[in-house]
Amino acid sequence: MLNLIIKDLLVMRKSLLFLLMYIIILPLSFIHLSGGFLPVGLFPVAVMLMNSTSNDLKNKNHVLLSSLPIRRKHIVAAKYLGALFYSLVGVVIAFVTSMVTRLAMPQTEVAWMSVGQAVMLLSLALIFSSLYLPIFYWLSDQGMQTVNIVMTIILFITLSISFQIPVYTGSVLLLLAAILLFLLSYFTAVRIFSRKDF
Amino acid sequence: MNVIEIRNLHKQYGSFSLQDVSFGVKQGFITGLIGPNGSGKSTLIKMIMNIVVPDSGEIAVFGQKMPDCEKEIKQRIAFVPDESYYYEDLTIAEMKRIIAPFYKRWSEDVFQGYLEQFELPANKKIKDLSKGMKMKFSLALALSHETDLLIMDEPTAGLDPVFRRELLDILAGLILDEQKSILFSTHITTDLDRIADYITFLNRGQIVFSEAKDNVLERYVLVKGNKELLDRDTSQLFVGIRETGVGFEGLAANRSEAASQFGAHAVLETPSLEDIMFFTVKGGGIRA
Amino acid sequence: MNILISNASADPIYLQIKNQIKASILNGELTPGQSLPSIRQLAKDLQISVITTKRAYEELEKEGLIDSVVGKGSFVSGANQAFIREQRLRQWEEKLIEVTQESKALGISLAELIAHLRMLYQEEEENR
Repeated sequence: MLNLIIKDLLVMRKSLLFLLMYIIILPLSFIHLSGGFLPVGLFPVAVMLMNSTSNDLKNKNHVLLSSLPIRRKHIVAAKYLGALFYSLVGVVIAFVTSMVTRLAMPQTEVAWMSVGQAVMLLSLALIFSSLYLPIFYWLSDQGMQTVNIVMTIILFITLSISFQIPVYTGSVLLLLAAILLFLLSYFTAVRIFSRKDF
Repeated sequence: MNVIEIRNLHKQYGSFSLQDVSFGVKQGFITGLIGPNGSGKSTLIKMIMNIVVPDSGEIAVFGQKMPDCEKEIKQRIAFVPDESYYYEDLTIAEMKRIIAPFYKRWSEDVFQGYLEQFELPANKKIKDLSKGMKMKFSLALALSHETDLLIMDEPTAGLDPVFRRELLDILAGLILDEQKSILFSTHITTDLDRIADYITFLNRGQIVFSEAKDNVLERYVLVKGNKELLDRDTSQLFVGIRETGVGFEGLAANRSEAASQFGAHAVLETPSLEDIMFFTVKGGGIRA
Repeated sequence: MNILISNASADPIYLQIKNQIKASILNGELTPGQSLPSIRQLAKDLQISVITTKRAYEELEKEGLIDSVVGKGSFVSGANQAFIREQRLRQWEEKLIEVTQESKALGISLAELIAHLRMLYQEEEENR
């Protein structure tokens, strides 16, 4: 299964430059918003996840993988572990961005990212992934267009929810809920994927 | 001993369906799966590989159930798909580096050997390969880990006749040890006319026959004769008939009966697999 | 030993193989105890089905011309010198009958036939 994750990363390497643009430049436009750390951290996750799944469709990955000696649930598990990894990367990017902003422009009102904010960011990233992945597996036959539209809608829903939630309340609770949702999402995705024909 | 055992397989795909398909693939031999386009050959093979999920029925490979033992089973299968599903932007070497780690018994030497034999440059991008080269690459990948079963889906479709012959030689070499088995689907039946040991014929989602090729070729006979020989009774004998202005030819499924009916009045020939496929698919009454 | 099969022939392939091997055994090209290629190797060389070569060998075994030992392969039958000689004599007689009939059809007398045979025998002796 490690192979699968490595494979995903290997393929991603090819579009790295392109990704970096999304990951770095886009978020910078949001840091001035209060609570701006959210889009800064969330966009990279969405972009990496979308890149990974669209590569799957572009490369007809699923057919290839189903002919190899791997169980289908492991194929899905690798995707989820990837999503977890991207979520963590998102948190790191948000933190680094806040740090760089503070160091470069000390007069700014942008604060250091706090632990509470990091936790919240991670939770939201996990929630986003939990919603996105099963839908991706369900709709993948219809092509990337459909999946992207759905993804964009989910992203905005997630963001607007996040702006309603006060930053520090229920952080840990939110994380636990997010993890639960993540696991639930995994089992759903496995069920969907196991029945698919390629 | 059957290396693949299929029982009562059903699959509905829109307007197409595979109905109650059952047959076995014998260990140590080459089994050909023939049928016209759309008969369900590819679907059947994909179900054996669990790339497509059947609606009902059982599939066992090496005596183990699919898809429960999917991982162990596939370690021992060399699979060559009908299309190249590799990442077009990667090179041959890079693609191999992704696939090889999945197999426990991968042999790099064997792989390099095949690259050389098939004249495949390791640093060439997959999108720059011709259809034939892609197939050779699939074959190189498939044969480079120790396998007991080689499954190929329309392998010869894009190949030039030169390599097709070479391929037949490679296949015959693989089964010399009597342990390995080969299943390959094709609609280019001339390849199978020579080397196949067993033939399974699929038409419109159902099995027409599944038996030793020699038996099939002895059982069926191609009858060629004058139009006048055809009447209501004699027509019954045929699986399919083709009438022209200058005579008729027909495929009969019972050689001895045909011989006694037509005997010296017509020409009786051993049909090729293509003849059998053509007349069976077309059914009776083909008017030229 | 050479085996050549023809797709154009009326005989099924297994029969062609059997007849050619049989001929080689009867004319001494294959000696008693000599090993034959395995059925799989033969199938590979001729690019035909294993089941076909197997059948050819089975027929040869039935006629007592070869023996097959599991795990070792197939060998020309040693014990049957007398049998082989008998087979060859039978073929020889068939040839003589053919020559006789043909001679009569061509109007060649018995005396001419004998004279011709004598000349051929002498030529054989000289060529040794």
